[in-house]
Amino acid sequence: MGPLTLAMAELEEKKVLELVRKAIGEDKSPLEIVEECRQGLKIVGERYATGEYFLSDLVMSAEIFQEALKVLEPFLSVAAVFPENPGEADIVFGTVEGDIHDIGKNITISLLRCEGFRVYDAGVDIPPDIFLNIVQETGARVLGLSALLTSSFESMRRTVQLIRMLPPVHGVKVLIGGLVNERVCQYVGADAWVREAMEGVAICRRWLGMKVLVSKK
Amino acid sequence: MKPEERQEQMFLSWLSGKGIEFANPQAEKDYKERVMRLKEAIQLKGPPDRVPVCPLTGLFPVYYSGITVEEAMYDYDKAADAWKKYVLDFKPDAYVGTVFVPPGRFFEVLDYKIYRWPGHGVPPDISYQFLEAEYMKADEYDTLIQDPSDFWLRSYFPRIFGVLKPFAKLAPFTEVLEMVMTCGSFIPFGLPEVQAAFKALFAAGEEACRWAATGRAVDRALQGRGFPALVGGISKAPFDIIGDTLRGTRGIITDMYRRPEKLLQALEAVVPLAIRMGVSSAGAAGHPLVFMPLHKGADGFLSGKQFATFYWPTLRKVIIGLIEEGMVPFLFAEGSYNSRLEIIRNLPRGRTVWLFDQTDMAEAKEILGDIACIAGNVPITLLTLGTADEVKEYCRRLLKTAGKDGGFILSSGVAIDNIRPENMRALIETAKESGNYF
Repeated sequence: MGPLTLAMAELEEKKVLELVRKAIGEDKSPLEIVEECRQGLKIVGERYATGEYFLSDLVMSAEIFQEALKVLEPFLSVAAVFPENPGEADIVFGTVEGDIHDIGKNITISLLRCEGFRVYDAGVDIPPDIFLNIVQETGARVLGLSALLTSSFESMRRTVQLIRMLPPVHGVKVLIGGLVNERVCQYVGADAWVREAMEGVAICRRWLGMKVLVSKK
Repeated sequence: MKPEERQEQMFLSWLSGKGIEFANPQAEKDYKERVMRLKEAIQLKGPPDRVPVCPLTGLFPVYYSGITVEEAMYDYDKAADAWKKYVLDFKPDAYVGTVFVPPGRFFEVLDYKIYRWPGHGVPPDISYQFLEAEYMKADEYDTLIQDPSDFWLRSYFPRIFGVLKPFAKLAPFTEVLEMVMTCGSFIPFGLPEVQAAFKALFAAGEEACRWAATGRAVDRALQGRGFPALVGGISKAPFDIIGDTLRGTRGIITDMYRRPEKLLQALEAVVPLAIRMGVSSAGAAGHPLVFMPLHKGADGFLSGKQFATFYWPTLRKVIIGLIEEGMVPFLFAEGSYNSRLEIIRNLPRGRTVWLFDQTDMAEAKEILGDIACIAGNVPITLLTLGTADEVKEYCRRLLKTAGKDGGFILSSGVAIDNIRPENMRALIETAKESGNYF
């Protein structure tokens, strides 16, 4: 493990940025630098999975990664993470109609983007037909629905029902998060449920079966 | 007076029902029995006659009575009727008051920006919701620490209330000194925009008075029929004051890494304010229980070390400060608290209530049982999607584990909104049928 990967894994922000600047000064390929940071993020994710790291650490790791990208940006010919809302997306993510809770959604999206997924953030209080439109327009294969109110179970259910009307060729899988469990998952008809951001990332990785590293700007 | 004497005095004030006009002798007897049941469950001096049952109702009375959230927020009489209907129909041992239905017009008058509510961003039948954001910037810690009240008045108010934006132009009140030229501090009050802000404040105050008067009438009516209120006052953990109110989740998390010293200073700065808030609100109600919703200290959010460094020390100071004034902090630990049980044990016996949401209740009983009254934790998903039989089954299991030998209040894990009435009935009836100690 290189020092940059290690600093990232240890969440040492100053050191990460120092090492990124140093690497740029040494004419190291910017994409290689990004990859070293991502290796550090991977370790953060592993430490989270084993219970060594917590949500606070995940949030901080994404912050540090963003700061590193800001330093690297002028030297990158391609974007290291995808733009905010890409025309084509792997994942569409939003909070269901009648619910404006967004903390969990935002944390999960930032982690998914760090992983290299193209994520379309649909926002909050999104009616089922808008979700359907965005999924169709972006060609996303995963729809993430977030909710933290019991009244949102119905919104999630209506959204899933509408998504299921798409022809099977779309193969859209629905992941729900927030105030959910197996019972809620069955009630709304989703494919999977998660209570934690990192579990959501793991499921997306499994469903989409890939990790995108870079995209063309 | 020693803290335990103060607590006893607060309990006696609550128990006496002073000022309540009871409908009949039976109502007075019922009221006192219910308060005594809670007192005995809390003080751990031996079990009460049975497990008290106090569902943490949020908007349940609104849905149950068939009105919309919007109606309840704008027509205080409708909300009042809804509350009376819920309590008189279900007969819980204590009720959560109408404070959970804030006045919509008050929000409008001040252009309250941190909420979405029916007619203002959410549909009529859906709950109001809080918009978390960075209402304090990372570089404002020193301003906050030096003078929290001034920060609230001249920085926070202008950001959260659209019509109070001109308050940013006020001079700090501490610049009013004995010198003759001190009148310069009053120039902002002469500005038309500042005057307009004050006029809006008067209107908001009038609305708040109307709303509070209805709430008091509901309390009088329900207490007169024998039902005590569950809580008297309110406060918060310093970490949640900084995290929920001012900096937001992302803000406070990054502050723990980037400016830990400043964060620690700010947490200390709000400790006396949180104690004052709890003491004054519960003191005014003559009711010892101070409701404290806990958010960002839950399992998973912070590491054990972060909890022990940033969350617990100042929360404990607030808890102890309240206890010293004779109050009983009623800590509502949302999420799960399994990994926090050992550390929160460090409290005097019989002075707090811990209402748990997803915490393992058998473990909570095992670890905290000799220190604090525990409460909870019927899952909101079960109450919403389950059957009445399933709710009863869950409650019975809970009574056996968490309810053993007293020190337990049966309740929901979180606030209840729209559930089927039979599930509410199942929750309350199980305590009455299966919760007897003698």
